[in-house]
Amino acid sequence: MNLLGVQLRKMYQRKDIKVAYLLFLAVPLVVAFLIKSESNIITIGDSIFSGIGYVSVVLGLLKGLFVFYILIFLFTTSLISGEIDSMNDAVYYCKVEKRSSIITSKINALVIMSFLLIMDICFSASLGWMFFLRNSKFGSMNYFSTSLEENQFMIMMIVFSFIEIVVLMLISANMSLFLSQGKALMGSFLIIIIFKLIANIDGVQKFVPTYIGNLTSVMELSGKKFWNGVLEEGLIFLAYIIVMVIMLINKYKRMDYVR
Amino acid sequence: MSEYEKKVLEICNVSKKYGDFNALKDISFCINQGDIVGLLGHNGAGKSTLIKCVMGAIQSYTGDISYKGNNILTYREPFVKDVGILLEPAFVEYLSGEENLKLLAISMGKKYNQGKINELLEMVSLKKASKKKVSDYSFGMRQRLGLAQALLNDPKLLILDEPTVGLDPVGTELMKTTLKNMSQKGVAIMFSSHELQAVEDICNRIVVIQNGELIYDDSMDKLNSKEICIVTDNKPEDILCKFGEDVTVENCYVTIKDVKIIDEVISCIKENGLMIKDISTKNNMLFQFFKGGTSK
Repeated sequence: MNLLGVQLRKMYQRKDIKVAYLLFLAVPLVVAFLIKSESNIITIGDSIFSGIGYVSVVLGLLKGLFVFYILIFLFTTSLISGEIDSMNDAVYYCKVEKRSSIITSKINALVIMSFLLIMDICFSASLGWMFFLRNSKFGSMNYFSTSLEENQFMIMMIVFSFIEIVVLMLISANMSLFLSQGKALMGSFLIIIIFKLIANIDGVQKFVPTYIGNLTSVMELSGKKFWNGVLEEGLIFLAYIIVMVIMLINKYKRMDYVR
Repeated sequence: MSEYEKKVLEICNVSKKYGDFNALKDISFCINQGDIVGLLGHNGAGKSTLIKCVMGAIQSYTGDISYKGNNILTYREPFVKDVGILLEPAFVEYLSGEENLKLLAISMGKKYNQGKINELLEMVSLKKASKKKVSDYSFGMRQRLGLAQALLNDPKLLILDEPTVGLDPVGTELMKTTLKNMSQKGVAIMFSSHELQAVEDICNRIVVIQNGELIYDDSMDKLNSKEICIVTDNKPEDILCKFGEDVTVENCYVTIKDVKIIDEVISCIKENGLMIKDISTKNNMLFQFFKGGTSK
């Protein structure tokens, strides 16, 4: 708990993390304003957004533009690889008994930070919808859709987007143990590109985190089939998380803080 | 106090390889309570690797390192509680010096004591700069913050890797005084350095590593047998032959290896009508060891 507090205090004093929060606060508001103003910078056709619908669209947009991935990789590689490179972890290891507590505190801090980033987007997109879209021709008056199934899908998509970010963060964290910060960052981007490419291959795609995170395969399903699909994809994510965490802790416990 | 209680750190047959390169070869020595051990060697001799093994940053070595009889990797609690280490002044750059110390104190599992942090910052002369970001610190300031970090837990064993690098004369003096005071309180200290004067001034033992091998481990006193150098106005020729190997002559330079015969040599020089232009002492043994020119 002490170490988690240390990692959070370290992270939230970083300028780039503060900028990320401000960016994710600003983007949904700006997008909503641009839609309402019909400035032709963003055109959405005849779409009408509920509050939750606008949240999922913004989330999809930020993921599609790689913004979310870039920031998460940047924070993960600097917190893990960067601090191994700079011998900062070695200094902390002289103050704590268990090495595993250092890496778990970092991972927990990154998970909390990712969760708060998602919440930041949800909050800002909701505000954007309320101020700019709700009373325009692009918005419905209700925050939730009238269709229960649509609401379920939107909410699960937000949840899965968060889990997707956690899985990708864990992949990047594992890379950070083997590679210096710059290389780990490049490697993480490469993995995302590979994921995006193999997400087009039938059969393989349902194991690709970036594909699962969008819940594309269950989009058309409803009722029990929808929940079965969500459970199946959730289990694949869980398997990813367990494997990644075990690999991460085992490697970190045994590694030399020497590149 | 028994021998066992006196022995603080024991390094037994420690070897470390990077690929085919032997960074450390079968290193064994121990550090006792109150010792100040100077770790000498060229760049790349293996000093930092040894310190990294001791702090646990490197775990893939063979051999055993124990603190008060307990292996430092498997039974870590007493080691972490009692040991202060300065390897490289590695800090979170965007935080202030004070904030860095606070976070390290919190990570030790204690409620941090602001008084202790202030006292340490005062001691290393960083109180005024304590709110400045570490990225704005000079290397010397980082070194001093590193010393404060190492002293955060009132260590009983202090290990420092080149603590005087980047320090100005005042900073070096502060470092030496701090280490001497700590040693008097029974703290065992090991530090590597290229500053031979600092090593000579404060160490009571020297460990020399050359190409990963320990080539010397003995008290400082044995190295401290100083030579006397006398400069005369003319070459003394054969008048000093009677002193044998204790006196060597090279042109006008007379080197006396045994200080006990200095009066006799001076008398002999004067009796033979030569003038003494200069008398000085020199201690080049440490330099010889540093060069790695002497084997065990």
